Amino acid sequence: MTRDKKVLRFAKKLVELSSENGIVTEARVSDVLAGLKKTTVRNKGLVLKTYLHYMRRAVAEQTAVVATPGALSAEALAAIESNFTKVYGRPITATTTKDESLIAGVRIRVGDDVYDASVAGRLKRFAESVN
Amino acid sequence: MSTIVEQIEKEIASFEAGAVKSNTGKIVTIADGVAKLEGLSGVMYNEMIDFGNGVYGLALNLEEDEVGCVILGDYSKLKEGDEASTTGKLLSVPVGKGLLGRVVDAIGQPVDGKGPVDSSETYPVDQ
Repeated sequence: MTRDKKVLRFAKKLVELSSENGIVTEARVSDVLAGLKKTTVRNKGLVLKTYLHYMRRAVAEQTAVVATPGALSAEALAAIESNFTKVYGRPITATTTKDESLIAGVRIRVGDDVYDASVAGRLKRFAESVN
Repeated sequence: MSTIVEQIEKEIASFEAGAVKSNTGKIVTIADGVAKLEGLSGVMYNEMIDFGNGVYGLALNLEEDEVGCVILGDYSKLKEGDEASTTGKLLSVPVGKGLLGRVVDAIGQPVDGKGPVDSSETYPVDQ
């Protein structure tokens, strides 16, 4: 990522414009991209790359990525969504990924936060406490 | 050998199926024992950062988008993209009589080959 402060500030402003009440929406992103097309901006490529970087982070903060070794029921996924929505005070959408290395349980990532309730994580922490 | 069994029994007795929360980030750059990390939005100044495999770092430079961290240990194992997590602990070392006569590294881990330091208490290094 660039260290150019002007580009960083501009990209952050674009992320702000892409969100409504702190929530990134597709419609707003389309508007921002359409607006950018019309205007002449220096380092447009760099601005777009930085904007993408920040947007990935913003989307990750609105998404709970649930890693499980097996399948997860729709009810469980809905419960995760509603609980995390309460915890973070913003709408959280849950998606699932398969990770057999977890052995059992789940590992949920929301932005930078990781909630580990897996057997593999438990064993890792136990191994560290023994060493 | 009995202490190992006791330790396992203690762990089983305290077993809880609850989730453990950690705040994570990724190494963006690493050189000369200093790493720049992205993420770690909940890190504290002077907090120990866990890079895994027994390698820890110290969060010293908290910027808006990045965290500058000094690696306390063998940083040759670490590379860009590796994950790190906060520990919730300020830089602290084991203290007490068990530390007397021992040789330890910057984070209080023994380097004299005499096994773990017999200490139940840790103090922040700035105390």
